[in-house]
Amino acid sequence: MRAAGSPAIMIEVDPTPQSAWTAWQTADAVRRGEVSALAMTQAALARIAAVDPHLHAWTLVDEPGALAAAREIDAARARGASLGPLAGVPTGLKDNFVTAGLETNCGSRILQGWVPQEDGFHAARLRAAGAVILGKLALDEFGMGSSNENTPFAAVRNPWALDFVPGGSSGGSAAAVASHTICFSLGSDSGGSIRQPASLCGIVGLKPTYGRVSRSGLIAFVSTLDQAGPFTRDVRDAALVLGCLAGHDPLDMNTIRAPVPDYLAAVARGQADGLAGLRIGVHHEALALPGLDPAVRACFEAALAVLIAAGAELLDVSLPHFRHAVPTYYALASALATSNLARFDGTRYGLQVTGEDFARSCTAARSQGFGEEVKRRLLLGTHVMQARSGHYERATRVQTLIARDYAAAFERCDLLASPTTRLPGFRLGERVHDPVAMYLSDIFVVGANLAGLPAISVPAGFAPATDPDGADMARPRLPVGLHLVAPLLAEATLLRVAAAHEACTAWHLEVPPEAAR
Amino acid sequence: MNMREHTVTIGLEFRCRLATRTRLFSPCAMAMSAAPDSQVDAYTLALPGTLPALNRQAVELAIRLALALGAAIAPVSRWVRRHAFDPSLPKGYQTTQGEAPLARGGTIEVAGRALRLTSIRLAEHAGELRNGSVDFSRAGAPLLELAGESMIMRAAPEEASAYLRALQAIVRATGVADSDMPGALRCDAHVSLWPKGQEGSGARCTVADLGSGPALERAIAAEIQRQAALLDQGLVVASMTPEANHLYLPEPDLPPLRIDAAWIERARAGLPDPLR
Repeated sequence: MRAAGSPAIMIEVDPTPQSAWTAWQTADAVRRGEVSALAMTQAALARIAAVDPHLHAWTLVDEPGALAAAREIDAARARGASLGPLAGVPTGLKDNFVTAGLETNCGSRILQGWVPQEDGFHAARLRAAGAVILGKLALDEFGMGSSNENTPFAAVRNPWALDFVPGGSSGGSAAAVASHTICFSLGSDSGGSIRQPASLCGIVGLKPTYGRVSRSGLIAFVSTLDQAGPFTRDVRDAALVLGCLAGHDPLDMNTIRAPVPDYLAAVARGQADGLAGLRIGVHHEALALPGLDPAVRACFEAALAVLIAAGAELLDVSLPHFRHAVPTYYALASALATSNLARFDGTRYGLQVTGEDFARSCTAARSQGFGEEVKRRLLLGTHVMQARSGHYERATRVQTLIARDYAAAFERCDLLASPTTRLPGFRLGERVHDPVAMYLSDIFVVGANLAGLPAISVPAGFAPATDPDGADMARPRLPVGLHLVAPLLAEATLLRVAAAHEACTAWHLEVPPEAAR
Repeated sequence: MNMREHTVTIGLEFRCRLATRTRLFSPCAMAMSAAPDSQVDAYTLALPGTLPALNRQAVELAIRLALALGAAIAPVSRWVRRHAFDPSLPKGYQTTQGEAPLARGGTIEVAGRALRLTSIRLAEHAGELRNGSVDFSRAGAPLLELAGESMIMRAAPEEASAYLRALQAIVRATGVADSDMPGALRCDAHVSLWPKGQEGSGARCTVADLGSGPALERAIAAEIQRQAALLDQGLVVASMTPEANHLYLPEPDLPPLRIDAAWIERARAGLPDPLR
């Protein structure tokens, strides 16, 4: 289905063709010398200047740094050096990844002005692969949110409809890729923060197995669940970027010492060979819960039909502790956030408030530096951490039960499928005053985090926006995602199935109005 | 004041700073020069995005000392975060071991009496407050914390300091700490008095962070005098121990510490013959 024509021809046909290129197309063209890294970077910078004033996806654009990096790639090619798998590919990182020389504030006033001296693992790996880092992307403060509205800075808009949220917490990373300003971006996913915004923005979002990708250089939120992963516009790019990040890292003792398979081969297999013999489990009980939008359900049924047509077999599975996943997630997430954010005491970096003594300056910095949602979670987390409440211990036990549910399901099937979200996105401000409704938007995605499993959201159609009660509002067409979950370390299966679905559909080729500007 | 009328119970806790080149959770060397913070790395300063990476040499020295004391090494021990907002704790918590310590048991023997140890834990050293600012030069250094059982000591100050000196001798013999460095071995004493022959027990008060036998003796003697004077006047002794109201969380960034027989044997090989 994909137009895999020569990029060189596309340049002549289309005045701004590069913006439509995927990462692998771009890197191939740069390696072959059909386009320079500098030209790609300049085009991406021009697109950011044209598009981002409407979207607010970027918190920082490092034009001089990006141009210098691109010139280095071109110079390396000129002297015959071998180029990396992401050579000349423009990218950006969610602003909770540590980047040398680029302010990293995690969407929080408490870290405003902090400029790390060294790259974290992810920025270093991307640069080593030849990617050109254009800047940093907006997020909910410290990753706490599902709409990108929990920020002291500008809220990010959805490129498909500017009144709608891009999802969260990696909303900037999703919007930047969906609007074709860059080929791919990095986000992080602790409770759906890659997959939910990927779904709402109509792109691919991959969360690897916990421990598959290092967390060194990713500012900690829910340490036992946090994983970095790519946003891309096709499945092959997700495989390409994952291959650059996966593997053991001595700086993160929770990374897994398992060999990294050839993810691109898995994608090729899915595109070419279909899914004969593959068993896909569907948890029908979860689909029967109230709140699933009928148009989203129709998209999901259509996606299942595509997988069946490709040779897969469907079966019903049971996840008995499914309904406990969201409260369990919020107990763990709040406690670990409280612990991880304890270091922000206003004495060493970011916001510094001088008080009479440590206690006063610490209190002042935290009162002024943290936003409302962060404070809500810190209060919840402090309660969960009280030994006598027993909440944390109980939550970890329920987490074990949920992981066992998945393990039992995977004895019968190779993969689980569901919609990524229950609704096709929501309007800015629609859920700001209803945190529980906001938390429940994670219902299909948090299970994979709690069980440490790899999961992906891929474009699977469009649905009209839902109408809030009593309001007679425009109902723009919004993207819908198909959510797939695989057993531990089975990213290759995930990518193979996602690629097979993509090969038989064209949803990933649709361009949002903001990208067509 | 007549202290013979009182039963003196003392619980001793020792902290031994292990002589590793680098810190417990980062490959950053400990600063030896006078320049403060000159060699402090991002993890020690708790910069965002940093994670702990366990120093295996610290574990080996800890095993060595625990073996010399006759303690049983746990095949699996676990790390916890002990929270406190304190300028000396840049992460807002100290990474230490909780309910599942590195080793249990073991004794320190002195002239026919034995101080039984309850637990031996690895923990990281805090920063040190000096003139209103924090010196991180030893922050994150590996500490081995050895907690002894509370015991009735008839010759209290001298007996307590005898245990400290005995431990100092073992530390020196095993070479796990630089015993010439001031502060390499410190001691807290939890002291409680109660009138002899009466039901009940006394409130615990702690004299903390004593680095030598004479200092420990002086502190315990003064504390016994203080409590005895209160009791003799019919007053109540208020408990004074370091605040125990901390929040704890299992350390999510460190897998459980697994110590197999081979590792124990390697550590044992580092002991001088009489202590093996």
